[in-house]
Amino acid sequence: MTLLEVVDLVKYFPIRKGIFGRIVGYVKAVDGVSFKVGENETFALVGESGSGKTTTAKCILGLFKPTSGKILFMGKNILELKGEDVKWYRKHVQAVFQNPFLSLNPRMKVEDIVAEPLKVHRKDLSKEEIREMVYEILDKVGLTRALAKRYPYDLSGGQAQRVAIARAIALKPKLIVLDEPTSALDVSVQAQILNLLIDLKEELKLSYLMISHDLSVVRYISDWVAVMYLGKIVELARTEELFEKPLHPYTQALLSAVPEPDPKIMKSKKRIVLPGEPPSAINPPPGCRLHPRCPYVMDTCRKKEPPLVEYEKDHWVACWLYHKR
Amino acid sequence: MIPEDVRVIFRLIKTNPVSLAGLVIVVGFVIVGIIAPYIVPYPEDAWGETYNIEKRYLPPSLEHPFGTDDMGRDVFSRVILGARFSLIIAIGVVGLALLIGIPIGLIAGYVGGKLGTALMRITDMFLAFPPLLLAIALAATLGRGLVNTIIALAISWWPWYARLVYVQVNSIRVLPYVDAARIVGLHPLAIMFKHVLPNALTPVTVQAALDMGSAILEAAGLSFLGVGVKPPTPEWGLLVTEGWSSINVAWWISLFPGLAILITVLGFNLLADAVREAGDPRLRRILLVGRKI
Amino acid sequence: MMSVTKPLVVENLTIHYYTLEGIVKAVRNVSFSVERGESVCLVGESGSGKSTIGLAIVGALPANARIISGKILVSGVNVLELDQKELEKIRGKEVSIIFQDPAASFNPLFTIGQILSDVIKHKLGIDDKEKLKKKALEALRIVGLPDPERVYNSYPHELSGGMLQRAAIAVAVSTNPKILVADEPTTMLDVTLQAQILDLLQDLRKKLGLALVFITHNLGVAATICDRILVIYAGSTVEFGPVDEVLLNPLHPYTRKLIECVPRSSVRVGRLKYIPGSLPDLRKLPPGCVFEPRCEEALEICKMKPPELVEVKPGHFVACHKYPNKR
Repeated sequence: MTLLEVVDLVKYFPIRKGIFGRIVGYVKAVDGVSFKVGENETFALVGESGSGKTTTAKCILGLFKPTSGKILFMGKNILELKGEDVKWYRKHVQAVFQNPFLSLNPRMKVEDIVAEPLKVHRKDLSKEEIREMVYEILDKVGLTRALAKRYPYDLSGGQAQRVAIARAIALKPKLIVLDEPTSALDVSVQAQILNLLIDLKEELKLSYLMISHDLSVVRYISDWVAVMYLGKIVELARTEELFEKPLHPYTQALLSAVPEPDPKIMKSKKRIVLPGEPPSAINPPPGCRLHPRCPYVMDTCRKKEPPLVEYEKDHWVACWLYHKR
Repeated sequence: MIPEDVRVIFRLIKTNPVSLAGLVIVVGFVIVGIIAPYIVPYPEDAWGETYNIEKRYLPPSLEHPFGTDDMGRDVFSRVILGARFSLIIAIGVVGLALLIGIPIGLIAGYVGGKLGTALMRITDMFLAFPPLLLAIALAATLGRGLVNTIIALAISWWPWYARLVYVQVNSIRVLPYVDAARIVGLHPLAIMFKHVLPNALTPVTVQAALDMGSAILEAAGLSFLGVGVKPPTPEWGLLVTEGWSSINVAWWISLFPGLAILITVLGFNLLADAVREAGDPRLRRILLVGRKI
Repeated sequence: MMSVTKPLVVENLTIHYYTLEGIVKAVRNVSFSVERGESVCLVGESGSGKSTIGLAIVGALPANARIISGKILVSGVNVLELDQKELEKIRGKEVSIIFQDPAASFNPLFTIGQILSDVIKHKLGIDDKEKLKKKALEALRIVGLPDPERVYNSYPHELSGGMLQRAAIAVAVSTNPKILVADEPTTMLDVTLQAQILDLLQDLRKKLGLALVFITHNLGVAATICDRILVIYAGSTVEFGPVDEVLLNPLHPYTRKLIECVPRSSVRVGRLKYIPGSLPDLRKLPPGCVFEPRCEEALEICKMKPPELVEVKPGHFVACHKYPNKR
């Protein structure tokens, strides 16, 4: 069953200049993105800065209003929700952000942070019932009750992120958006949090939309991966398929650039270098957006944008190299 | 206030003898201000209700540690009671300024847009005036008296707090925990009061507490100029004025209230320095054990 | 036999931080050396002390740090015994540093060209404006910037993160230093940019014979750029040796665990291991091995005294009671 379906999502940010705020251009952060996330699945959006992955996530979370496109959650278009339906959406879609010390209100105790969603949505529960539930949830994420009365700055990075996760699962949502959940943590703690997320997914039958720039983490935790470049999806496939058989030159370059703590692998890796830097999203290049940097660029690439097509079963790619003409 | 900030501040104060002195002075001032009416040796003198012709212009002695003034009143009692008035003024001015400034800064920062810009422009207009001048003009217009003095000063002061709150709210508004509150489904008003405001207030409340020293100084200035409180209120500035004409012969009448102002304001300033140091992020990282997440 | 002075020798370095909450024993008895053209990685997590060592090498420790003991020999001269004036001559000239945030190397009020020329002028004593500009542009070219003129005239905020980091490297190598300390220079960059910068550093190492001290928490990056790797935990050396050796045959339990808890992009891994517990309080260190509380292979002796650094194989050192000193 498809839980989340994003259809042709577009988000442009206007650039204003002058006293009257004239619009002089747009930052085309997300330029036509479509994908589906199923139940109990982890779907990863991967890309470098400027790829549009974070903006996509924020549109799904309702923090940005898309310029156009549809976001369907359990069949309903969230952009058209009103009143009680908005609350329904909030109950089922939650988020965990990158830096727990910024995503937790520094003046709230841990127990209050985790109780907040319950207080908003479960007005039927009494104070004691909420407190009991909070303790249960803290237990589930591996935190002792003693930490309930502490403030976020008393905690370590790993503990603070667990609190953020506790808050996210409090309402037993269906989908959690994970925005680089372990990037700010130490390596040894990262592993614990990733394992916790995997366990919770199984136990609570969650789906995750994972935003990350770290391909190793993505390979460990995701079922599906979509690679984004300059506002568009360039490749989409099941995780193992993408990592074993990357088709798009950008995906290949990305994978070849990831450093591994295994000197044997590093020596045998074929490096595909993309010269220069990604251009700005204000004036993306015509045709295929990668063409100025692509080692396999052809004439068509400069003129026409390749569509995302299903090259093999469950493996989509947007590249003229794979377009059977 | 965040307990952590307070802890750091207190630790800093404990280790620095100068800030410790400031803390002692401020605490002493507040205590004296509260219990003043009960400890003055000559209560009627303090309130200015007496006229003892035979005791005029007495120099400092055991019975009158600060001497007596032109009306034969015990200066010591008047200075002690003056502490209470200064305390009232300090709290009144700062409190009223906060009452006006915080909502304006909060709405301007949170709602933003045209309303925010408009509110901030008004604030800027007030800020363009030299504050003391504005206060003097207002006080002169409103007339003398304790309440009018407080109002005049508060009106010249609220823009600073509005601006401070505005800046804080603006930067907090985009923090992830505000996003998180939206995602949890909190009503925008609830977010404003529960998440944004408390965090925005920390620098403001600290600033306000320390501004009390400046409030006392400015009120004394207004009284000295004759546009502040009315006689026979034993406000320190007014006390200085009362002794001004006889300063050559009875120096004690102006000196002791003047010293009171000096020491109290100094105490607040020393404390303010300590708090400012505690707020410096680089210093804090050095002061606390290296915290990385 | 001709003895060539190594560009950098760090001997028994111990550094403490004096804070309001106690004395933090940040670095304890760390020793290593770097040959000309060699790169040594200091690898550790946050709070391990690796950045402190880097700052000590360039003489840029914060005011509350005290060097308790040890030597840092730059071309044979102990920089810890130099006064400010002599340090000024060495800093930026013999030893340079680049940081995680390239913006930290630049005053936002000046153009890259102005900053570069300033450095070259003061460190190399060149006064001629023409020559200064030539040298500056050359430095910008060496680091692979496609349009040196444009970068020369740009302000830091006008450049992207990757270009700014290249410019920072340009400033660092413009004075032909013998040693370059790189403190997590690629952590803030995207993966493809990181690869470019690492390539650049490798290239410069060979071209200029730089001795590179590379500080990172990323084992993969260490594998890419280092010849030898020094794994540091809570301020003390845990393992040290050629990078291939240490990563393929890790001896210390911490190193092994570190490798096992990193997810991979080139292979499927099973469930990730993790290291239970957390960093010890560097103000109150346990009497024994500093890693013991979190070590799953700890022996009784580990609680009692700290292990010595022992050369288990040629060039491969480990500080662990499982590899006792057989003397």
